[in-house]
Amino acid sequence: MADNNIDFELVNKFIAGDEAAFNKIVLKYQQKIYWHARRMTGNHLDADEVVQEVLIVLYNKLKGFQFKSSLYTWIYKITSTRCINYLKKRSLKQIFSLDDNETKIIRSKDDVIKDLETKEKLAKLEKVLQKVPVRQREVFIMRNFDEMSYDEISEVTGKSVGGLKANYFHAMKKIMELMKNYENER
Amino acid sequence: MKMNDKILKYIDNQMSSSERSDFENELKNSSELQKELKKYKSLMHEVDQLKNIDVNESYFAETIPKFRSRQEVLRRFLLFPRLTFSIATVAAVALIFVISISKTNKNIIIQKNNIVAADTSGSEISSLLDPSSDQLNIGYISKEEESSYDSLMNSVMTKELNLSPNDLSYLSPDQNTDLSSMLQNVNEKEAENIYKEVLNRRFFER
Repeated sequence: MADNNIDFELVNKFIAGDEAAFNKIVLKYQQKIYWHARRMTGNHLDADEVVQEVLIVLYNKLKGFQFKSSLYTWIYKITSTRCINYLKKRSLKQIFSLDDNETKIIRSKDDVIKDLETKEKLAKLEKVLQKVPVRQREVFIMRNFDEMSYDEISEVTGKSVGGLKANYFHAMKKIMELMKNYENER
Repeated sequence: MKMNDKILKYIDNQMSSSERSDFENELKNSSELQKELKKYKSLMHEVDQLKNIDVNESYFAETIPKFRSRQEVLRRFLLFPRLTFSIATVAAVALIFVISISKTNKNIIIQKNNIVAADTSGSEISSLLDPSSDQLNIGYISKEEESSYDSLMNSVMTKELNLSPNDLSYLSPDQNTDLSSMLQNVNEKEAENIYKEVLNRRFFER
């Protein structure tokens, strides 16, 4: 509740013309935006691009925000939509260009992760997640990494709780299978 | 319910208390179920390890400056199309204004003859131009005014051209003949000749 009050204050300050209030909102939520985008897109460069897109939308639309939901839910909704749009654009680009995932991984050397072991584990999960359909991947990420309830996910995605549960179970089964295959390939 | 579905429901805390106790009882007696559950638990453990990752803070420190510089570039980029759009809008408005003005002038000219071309069909125009029609109003001069103008013209012509009153009788039209009776006396061949002559005549020398 106190968190919502702080957000309310920051949004009102920004509407009144205080640019520093926007910076504070970004500082508060940027990691959450980044990690959702990173898990959805599977690499740092694409995640970085999505973060910038989200911030542009956030800046342009924040003046019209009416607190019908919490600021976090609203930002999450924008992030989720931008990620899905970005993935659509990326798959189209991949059809018409030679820019495949391998080159992207090489280009991602300027990653944000410090620890090498964690980097490898994340690379494995990212590779597996990219093979899961986008909607199933999204529910899996929201449920496991962001620890959201089905009701919260439903508010963000606009999908029914039943449909989300089905998507989550499909995602889990597929990830289990892909993990098994990944280990066998090594 | 399939084994995998039961495990997923169990892991996801979607079981009722009775379903949960039934599953746990089944789990004690089934090694296969235990093996499967172990696989799912290990996946969940891997996911848990990747929940909170240590990151290079310098990247996040750069997010806002990067956004601000990008915003500036976007602002400049959007300025050019906006300018083009404004000029195009002004030009379009000016063009519409000029067209509407010229159209209004045309209407005024036509309305002087009490005929609005846009609102009148071809047959209506023919009936309006029919000499026998009551609607055709050639001039607005009454009979009294006409005779006074005639006498004025006669006096001017007599004075300026040194004409006698007898010469004037040749120049004046037959007072008893009106336009409709004159047209009735013209046969088709004569009408065609008049028409051709009118067509070939050059009224204005360049």
